[in-house]
Amino acid sequence: MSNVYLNSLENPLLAWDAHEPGPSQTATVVTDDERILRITFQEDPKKGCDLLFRRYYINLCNQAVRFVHSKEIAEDIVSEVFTDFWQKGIYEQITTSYRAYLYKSIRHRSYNYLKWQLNKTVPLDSEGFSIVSETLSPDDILQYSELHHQVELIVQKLPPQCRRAYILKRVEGKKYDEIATELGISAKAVEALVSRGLARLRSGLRENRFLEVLIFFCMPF
Amino acid sequence: MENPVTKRLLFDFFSDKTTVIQRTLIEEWLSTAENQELYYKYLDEWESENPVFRPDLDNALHAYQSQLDGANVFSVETESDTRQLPVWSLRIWPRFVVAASVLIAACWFFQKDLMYETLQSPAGKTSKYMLSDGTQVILNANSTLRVSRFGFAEASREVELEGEADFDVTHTTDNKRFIVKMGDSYKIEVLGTKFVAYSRAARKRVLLSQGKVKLQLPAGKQVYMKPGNLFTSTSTDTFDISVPAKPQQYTAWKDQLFYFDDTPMLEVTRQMKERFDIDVRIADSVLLERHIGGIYRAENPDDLLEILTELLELEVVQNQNITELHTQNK
Repeated sequence: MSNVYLNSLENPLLAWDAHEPGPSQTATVVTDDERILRITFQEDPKKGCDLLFRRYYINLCNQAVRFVHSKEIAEDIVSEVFTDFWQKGIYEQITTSYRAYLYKSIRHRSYNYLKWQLNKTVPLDSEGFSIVSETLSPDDILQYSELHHQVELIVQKLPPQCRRAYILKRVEGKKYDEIATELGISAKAVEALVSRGLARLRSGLRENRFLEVLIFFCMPF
Repeated sequence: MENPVTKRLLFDFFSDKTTVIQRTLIEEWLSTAENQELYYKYLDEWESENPVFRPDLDNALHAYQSQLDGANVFSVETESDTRQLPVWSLRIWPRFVVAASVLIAACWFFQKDLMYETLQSPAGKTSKYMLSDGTQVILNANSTLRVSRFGFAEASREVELEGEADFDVTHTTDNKRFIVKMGDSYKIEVLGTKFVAYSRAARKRVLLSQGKVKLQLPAGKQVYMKPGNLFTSTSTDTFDISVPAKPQQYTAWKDQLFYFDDTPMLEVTRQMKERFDIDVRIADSVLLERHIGGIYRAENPDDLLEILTELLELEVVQNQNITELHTQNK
């Protein structure tokens, strides 16, 4: 997969291998994960949450960042889901695997954030939506993945300078003046480039049926 | 073939490399619950193999663990009146009942003291505070901020303001709102911003310097503010949003400054009352009509009185608790 963020990171794949000594995740290990998790939750939910967090945090952040294009926001979203999981006792209510619940929640929240980002008049509030009881249609499940593909494509098609400014600002979370010195242009110009990128994203996603459908259904009034 | 949807095909789909026909295949395959489970399992595997960035697990885990520990007590308390009590808490149930009933009884008597921690700034002094979520507050003189004790950082971040304060609100990792209650019917809601709020009986005021703010007004009204906007409302609940040409006048107090710009003397005395809690009276109607300008540093009432006497050639007469200002007789 070609990836727009790769050039701004120092070879993440190598860093990944170097810091992740554990076993590679084969199919059987993953199935066992769920069983071990379930037993742990029965014995001690706190320990269960801890284990779940260790197991899925990094992967979930990676999933979220594909939608929201900001490492910081992605980490926030994932932490929020884990907080609710513990504080609202969701671990007792879920009927699917922990993994399926987590991925569904992360995708839904990331999607909500994206929607809010594109249209800030819609309140950023996903609390009222109970993912526990939510069953997604096969089409919806696929649409989530397609949505982040589309986000990716739009960003890749941005003019080079615009794309760089967008990535430095949104993905790397740098400040306008830092980007300005890096790109050798004024901070005002950086700001203009970033907002142009966002505008493209907005207009590019406007035709996305999935966003519209969900916006319609998720409207709080 | 019995099962045309393989892990390989799903991986291709996650990487945006499938055709429309393959997509329908996957869609059909997803109609069973087991396959949906499998889908997320493969999605997770795919994420393991295609990382985009490497978040700091140690830090995040540490934060989560302290949540797990801290939230322990907290969730038991809130769960007391809901039906779904976690199974594991049954063991500590009896102890909890005793603790809770004492707590509830105590709450009746000391509701405000118990629920809120009170931060205060005396007359003539500004005080700086850092709240547990990292938010920085500078309280103007004669002002009070009440911060909810329970779950301040975990649940909503709510404070009550009487007086004036400068807020530098941190944006929490979980996007928790920060709410400033001003009187009964005004509320400021933010995620992470910088603003100065003023809340006294006669007037409410908010000056936003950074970020975005939502204001809840009486009768369910709401307004959104942009950086640079000044919101003012009067005791009759009419309000106005403007862009002040000189926003410094609303933040001057942070540097122990008085900012006067064609300010009538009556207003000067009102500000002295507010900042230093001293009663200044001007009997002379000509003097009352005068307006003054300038930025003056005054850490105590005498500093300002000295400046005023020189500027306007005044005489200060201390009459018990009241400071009277007269024009000098030549």
